[in-house]
Amino acid sequence: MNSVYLPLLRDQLARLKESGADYADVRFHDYDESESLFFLQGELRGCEQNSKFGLGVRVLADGAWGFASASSLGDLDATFQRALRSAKEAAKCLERPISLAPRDVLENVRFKSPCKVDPFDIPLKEKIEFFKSVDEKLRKDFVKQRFLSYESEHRQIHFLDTEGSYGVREIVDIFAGMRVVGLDVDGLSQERTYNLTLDPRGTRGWELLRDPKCFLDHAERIVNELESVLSAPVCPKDVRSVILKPGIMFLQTHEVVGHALELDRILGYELSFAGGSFVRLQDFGNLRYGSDKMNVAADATLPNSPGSFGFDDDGVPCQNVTLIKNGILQSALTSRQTITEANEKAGMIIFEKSGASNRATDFTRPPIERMTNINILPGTDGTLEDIVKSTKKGIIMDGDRSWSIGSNREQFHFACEIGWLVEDGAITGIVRNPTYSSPTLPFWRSMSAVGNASTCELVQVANCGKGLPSQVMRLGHCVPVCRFDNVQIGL
Amino acid sequence: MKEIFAAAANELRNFARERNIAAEFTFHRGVSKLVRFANSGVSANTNEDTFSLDVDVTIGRAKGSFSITTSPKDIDGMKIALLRAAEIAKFAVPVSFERKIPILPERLPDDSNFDQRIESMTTADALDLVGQATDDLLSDGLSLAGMVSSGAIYEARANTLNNNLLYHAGTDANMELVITNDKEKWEIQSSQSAVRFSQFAPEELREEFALLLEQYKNKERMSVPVGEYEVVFGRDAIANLMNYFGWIGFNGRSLKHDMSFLREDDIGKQVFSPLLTVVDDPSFSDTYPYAFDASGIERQAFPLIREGVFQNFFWDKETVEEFGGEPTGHDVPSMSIAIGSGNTPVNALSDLLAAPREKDILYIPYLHYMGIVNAAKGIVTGSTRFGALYLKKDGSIAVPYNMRFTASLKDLFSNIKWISQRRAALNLTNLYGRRHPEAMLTPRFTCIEKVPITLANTSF
Ligand SMILES: [Zn+2]
Repeated sequence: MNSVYLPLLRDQLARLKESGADYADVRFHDYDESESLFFLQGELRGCEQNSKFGLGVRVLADGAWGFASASSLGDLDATFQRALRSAKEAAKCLERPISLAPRDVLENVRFKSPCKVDPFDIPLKEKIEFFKSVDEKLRKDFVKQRFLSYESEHRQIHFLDTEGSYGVREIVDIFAGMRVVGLDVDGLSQERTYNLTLDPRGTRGWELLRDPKCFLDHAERIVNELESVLSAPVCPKDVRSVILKPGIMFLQTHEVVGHALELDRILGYELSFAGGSFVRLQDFGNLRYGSDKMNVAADATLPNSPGSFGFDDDGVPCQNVTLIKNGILQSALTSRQTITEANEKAGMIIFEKSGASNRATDFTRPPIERMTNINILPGTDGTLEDIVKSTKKGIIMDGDRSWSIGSNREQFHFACEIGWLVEDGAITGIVRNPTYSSPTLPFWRSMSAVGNASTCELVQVANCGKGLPSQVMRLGHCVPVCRFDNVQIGL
Repeated sequence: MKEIFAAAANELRNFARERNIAAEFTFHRGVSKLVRFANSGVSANTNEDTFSLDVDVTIGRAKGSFSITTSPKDIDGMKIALLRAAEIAKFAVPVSFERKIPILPERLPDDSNFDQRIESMTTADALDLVGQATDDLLSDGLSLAGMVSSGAIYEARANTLNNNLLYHAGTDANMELVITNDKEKWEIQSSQSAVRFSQFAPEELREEFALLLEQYKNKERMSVPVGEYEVVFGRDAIANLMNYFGWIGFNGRSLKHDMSFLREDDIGKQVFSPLLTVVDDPSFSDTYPYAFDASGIERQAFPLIREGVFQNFFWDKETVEEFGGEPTGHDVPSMSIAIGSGNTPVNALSDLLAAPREKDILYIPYLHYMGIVNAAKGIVTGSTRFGALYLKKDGSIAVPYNMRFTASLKDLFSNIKWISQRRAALNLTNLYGRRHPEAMLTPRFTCIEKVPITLANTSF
């Protein structure tokens, strides 16, 4: 506890209680730095660092929430009282008073992301040289545009509440990506991308970029794949098996499992913006979401991922929650507020305790249900080669190029960067502009193969958007290669 | 706020000049209030007051940037930001083209679209507006969702080349309401954008809601057969589609990076329907316009499409520095896009429902979660949401389940059949990060033929 401001914040929380708050918490960012680099054609086009300081105060009074944030601690009274006033004013328009599920008080909990070499300790010069060396590998005649991006964050967030909790999180994140663009035989642009993936048991500092296997070695692969795509035939319009590599499987999981299972969406809290969910409260424990092969966890206890953060912004410790077991829906992404409301509405206990999914993007926003690490558990169908061998007529896809999803997550359309046609157990050729679309439940129910642990990758998501006022969130998906049958492709 | 920015700019300029640092400063303060509704109650009532300073330091062709979010009085923090930007610039690698700090001209403060009433909007104001917009409508298992968002921005730009300060301030507000039927899982939506509080007309929202509810409560629900349709798009849907033009159509930077579906040789050609005219025109105050851009270039009406003929790409400063040409005053957080009105007297939903029809048509007021399938071909996809209707040739009306369409923007905007006479501003402000209001002037309805519906849901 090294911040001189903490006693002042405790004081303010106590005053809120005296003024009629039922509960209040404050998140205070006393150190919050980020850095981003952007290279185009090997040139450093953007080189930016950012430093933030501020706090967000959330107050529950008369059954309603109020929230206020400020980038200045100059007038703490005003910020805390504004949050309280907002709660009391909101309470004038309330159908059901909010109440929070009980939880243990956080006692001086400290969380730190696993990181060997803090990216902020690396001189800028070294970073620039590193990315220039990556760019060299992307340089080919047929590559018209070369993009490299890098972003890292290091933030310290203090959490205090009126129930006596105190915890501090020191979070380091690192994202890096490379993208090559070329013109195909019709003169239209095609692209191939690679984004830094993590070892869920490893660390996430600059050491990742020093290991060629993690980043540099992928440059040659994406360049070769782009070259093949440029002269490849267009993906046929057809119905066949679709084999998804982790580079698209993560998004498939994100969009129509992760978002569909956010309890605030299920309860209607996002109906005016991000959307609802086809999942209903009575579906938990019953709904056949996918085939027997489908097992999904929201695992925020993975040691190394942006979806693991020690405790959430309700002050609830991270957990590993089974969402789907052998294809049957079990649980959701939950918070203290939503489980109380869901259990009450359902007239039964569906959720025993909060799953610790309540997170805010930074101090300017109140927390809402967010994904942690939404993982498809590995299966017993071997490697990608094994899955291809057992496929009669299919297509392998990789790389997320575009995504569009129905507002209740009931259907989707994805466009990928590259496709490999499979006939009678063997790859027969590459196609460009591969797309697939389907209603959600028939798709997951047609899951016919799940790769083993060797096919899994932990893909990071840095830009998941939701909420009003809107917020982006960082999270992860550890997913294997999976196959789905009878899917519409090429639309 | 102008005085606080001016004082900070003075101090920072002097501090930089003493150290021979060539620097640019962008000040931004956003004050935001948002009352969010869900399940007929206020689900969030948020207030934000954030100040930030961006510093860009240029050394020859190398540039370093540092942003700080702090108190507007934190001059010491701002000086550190300047030094850190200078340090970054020292190590940044020069680019292959000339980079110039603009000589900012003297300009009057650009703050004529500032309404004190909006800046001081309260929770009670929001509740009152929403109450009027939904008066007596929320019965029979219907719930209210949505938001009333209001706020103000204060921005300034300065650099070490001279002592001028470009100042911009404005207010913005948006009421975006949704009525939901939780049991059946359908939703209808309507919205209103305002620069001044007096522009809010909640009774108009109520009228539209009432008419839509009549259809949604009573009419047959159906899954529309997949195929080509004549579609009347509402203003939200058409703004959403036109928004892609700013990204992969009119944008000179995208052209140079092969990410535009419009090409240089399309200029002067009849690429779209003769009914389509699009202009970026800061004289429309409802679009939260900027009077000048970040370089101080005066913003003027900039024709993009005239009667279907493509007129111009717009060019930002950095693209011009790299590829040559003239900047067009488009270094702005948001443009003032206006789609020209038509001459069809269908100006309200009641007109549309009453109009005789030669065939079955779809009314699609809103598109959800669009994606670019292929930027170079301008192919986009998205789903319908919020209040679509199936208007049958025989005069009857059905409520369709949500549908997906996938089509090229070129095809869509070549097949315009008619456009309404009336226009209104549609608020496009995204509420991520820094506050930057944005709105587009769009016709009430735009009818487009041969829209391919590629998937139709079989339930809500
Ligand atoms: Zn997301």
